[in-house]
Amino acid sequence: MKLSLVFPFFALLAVGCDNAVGSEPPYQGHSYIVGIDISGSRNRTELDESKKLLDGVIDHLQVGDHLTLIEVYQGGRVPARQWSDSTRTPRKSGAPTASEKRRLEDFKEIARMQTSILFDSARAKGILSTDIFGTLSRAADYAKASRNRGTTLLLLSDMMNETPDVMMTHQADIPGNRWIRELAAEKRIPRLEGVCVVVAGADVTTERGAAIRDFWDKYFEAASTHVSPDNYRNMISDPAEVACSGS
Amino acid sequence: MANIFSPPTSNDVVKGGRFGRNGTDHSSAFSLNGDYPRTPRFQWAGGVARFWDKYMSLPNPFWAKPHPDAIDDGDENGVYAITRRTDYWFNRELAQLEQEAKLLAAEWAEKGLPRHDVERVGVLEPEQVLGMKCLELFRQWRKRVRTKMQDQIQSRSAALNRLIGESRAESNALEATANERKNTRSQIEAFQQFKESDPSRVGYDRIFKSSFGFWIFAGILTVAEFTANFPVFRLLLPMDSTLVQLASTLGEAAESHTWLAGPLVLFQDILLHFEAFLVALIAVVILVLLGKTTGSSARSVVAFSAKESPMAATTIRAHRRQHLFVFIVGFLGIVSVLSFLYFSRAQIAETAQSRVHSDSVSLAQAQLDQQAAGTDLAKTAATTQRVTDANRTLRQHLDDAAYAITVQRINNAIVLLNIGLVLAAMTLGFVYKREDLTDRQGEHPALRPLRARLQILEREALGHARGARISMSGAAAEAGRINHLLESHPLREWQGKQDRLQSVILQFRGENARIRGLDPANVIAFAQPSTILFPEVNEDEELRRPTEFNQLLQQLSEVETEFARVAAYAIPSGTQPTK
Repeated sequence: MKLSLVFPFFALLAVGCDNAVGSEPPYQGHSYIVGIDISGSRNRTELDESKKLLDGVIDHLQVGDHLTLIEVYQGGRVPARQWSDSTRTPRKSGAPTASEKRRLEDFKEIARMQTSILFDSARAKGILSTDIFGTLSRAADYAKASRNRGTTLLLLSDMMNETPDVMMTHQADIPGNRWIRELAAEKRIPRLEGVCVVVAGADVTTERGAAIRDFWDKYFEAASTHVSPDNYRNMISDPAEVACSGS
Repeated sequence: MANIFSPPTSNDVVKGGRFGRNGTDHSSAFSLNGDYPRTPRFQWAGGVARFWDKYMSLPNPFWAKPHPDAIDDGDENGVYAITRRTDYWFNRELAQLEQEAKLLAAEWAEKGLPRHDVERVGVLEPEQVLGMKCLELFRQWRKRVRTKMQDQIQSRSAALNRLIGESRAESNALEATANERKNTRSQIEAFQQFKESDPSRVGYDRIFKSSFGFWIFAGILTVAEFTANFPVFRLLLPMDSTLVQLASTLGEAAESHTWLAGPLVLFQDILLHFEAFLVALIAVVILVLLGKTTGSSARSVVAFSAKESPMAATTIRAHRRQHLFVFIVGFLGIVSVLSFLYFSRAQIAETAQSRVHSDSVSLAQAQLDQQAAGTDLAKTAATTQRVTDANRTLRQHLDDAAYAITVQRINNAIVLLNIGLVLAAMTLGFVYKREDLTDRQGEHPALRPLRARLQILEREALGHARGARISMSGAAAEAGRINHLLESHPLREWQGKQDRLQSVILQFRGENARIRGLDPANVIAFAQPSTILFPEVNEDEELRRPTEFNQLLQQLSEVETEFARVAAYAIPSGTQPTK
């Protein structure tokens, strides 16, 4: 009698364990690389909007996603701060376990905490330069490490590079195609193949802003990627829009 | 004129002499019957003598050889034992006579008497007195010896009579036990042949007959006990922090299952607290098992009665004995488990509260670390995770603490519930019990006491036989002693006694002459013969044979014959005693 009751229990347990090891390849997650620009060229409202968008992106993170927060390089000797972490790859796609969900929530909590640190307004006052090129180089490095994951580069910036080499504060100072070709020839442009680039916070209404957008369009093309007009915006209210069409 | 130096008649000795004390000489301690009052002069001396004879003549343990007297005194039943005291008495009286002779000699010597140069006509007065006393002492000695011997013979005869009576009584008792044993054996054989007129089945059926229903109820009881007690174990056994977080997450996830959330949460909780689950399950299963077993045993104890089914009495007694043991052990086990649960519930609130306190401290420390991390992104991530974990654990343990307080508050009610569930399990075991003792090995209940009675009777028979043998042996020994005393001729020493008494007159004369500085041969008064004429004694004179002695010997013979007859069939052992 005892054996007849115990045996089905263990058999059921064995079946349950077997189901846990599915043949379907696990979900690899998505990699979000976020460049955060809190330079003095951006006002408080823009920073709040960027932070809100980033929080939204964080809220939409799923189990297995990877998040990298990079402070836009300031140039000079002050290093940019960065934080990169991810949740564990889910064992089964589409059906995260309770433990995975709990870890995801913990991850989001930590990400929000890091976000609040990076958007520190007190620190913003002391930043005088913005090295977007350096940030893109570092983002390319992270994107390369993402391997098979889909990668989205979200730039929360006005895209005005302000380094001694390239100052975009005036329209006339914005480099032309020749400069980009020279960089490409010298292989000084980072490779961003397969990376979905989304810009939020850029000036798209003024001539200077349009010139800057044209420059970056050409630059990203040289970096083997493409920024659609819909992804080069001043403000993105819905975090779900942080994606490329067809991706 | 008759004097002591003239031959007396034989009757003088027996009837007592015509010479006796005249009452004038108080210094003499002489007594006719031996019970004379002692004078102070000799009282202490006699005491010392008695003391010496009684204590100081004991054999010295340091002597290499035993004291000669000890050897002589060994036979307490012989003639010597009887005449020893008489000899001692004779020697003592003779010593006093000799002392008196010396005193008289001294008194007469002071006065120069008897005159050495004058012939006396007749016996000298002191010598006459001393002679008469010697004569009287001899008579007394002879009388005492005969009396002592006759008394001893009579005493032995009485003992013989008593022992014959005892032998007869023991023999009769032996025969009575033999008859009683025979009757008892007959009864035992009759009961062994006894068959029950109505050989009905010895057993009982289940009151609750459905096996399916039994298992359903058993399962319900187990589940109820488990549900009532599992939270206690869950709180008592601390859970890994990871499992705590997982439990919390699962609990939140279960909310989506709406009405199934309750069972799901409980089920998940059970699986996550696997240690507590195992312990609680084992405890509950044991509790239900103990209850069921105890109930079953109770039915076995109360359902059967050896009186109602005498032919199955042995089986029933063995059966009841075993189940009584199981019942007691099961009951103690139930009490132990319920006590454990009760006392555990009584302290879970403190346990849970201590965990809350510990978690609060951990959380405060994590928060301090988080503040200390400042804007350091790496440190902030780690400390934030710690704060989150600590918060989650604290919340879980706060819930546990609240639950523990509630459980502790209703502890008495829970224990009543536990008792009720155990009683239900016992009832289930009671009503589901089925037993059949038809294959019985019993016997009639009267057989056991009859066998015990038979055994007692056999022991009594052996005791009676032994008593009879001892009494007969003692009686035969007494008869032998009587014969020995009758043929002992204790007066054969009469010549020695007379010789010693003859020396008293000579001692008087010698002492008188010595004091006066004369030779007794020079005293003319002492020229007369000094020999005391004692009566002739028939040393072969036989002691009087007790009149009942022959009859007693006859009775002893009859008793021995009777005992041999009875012993032939009445003594339980194989060896039959001889006469």
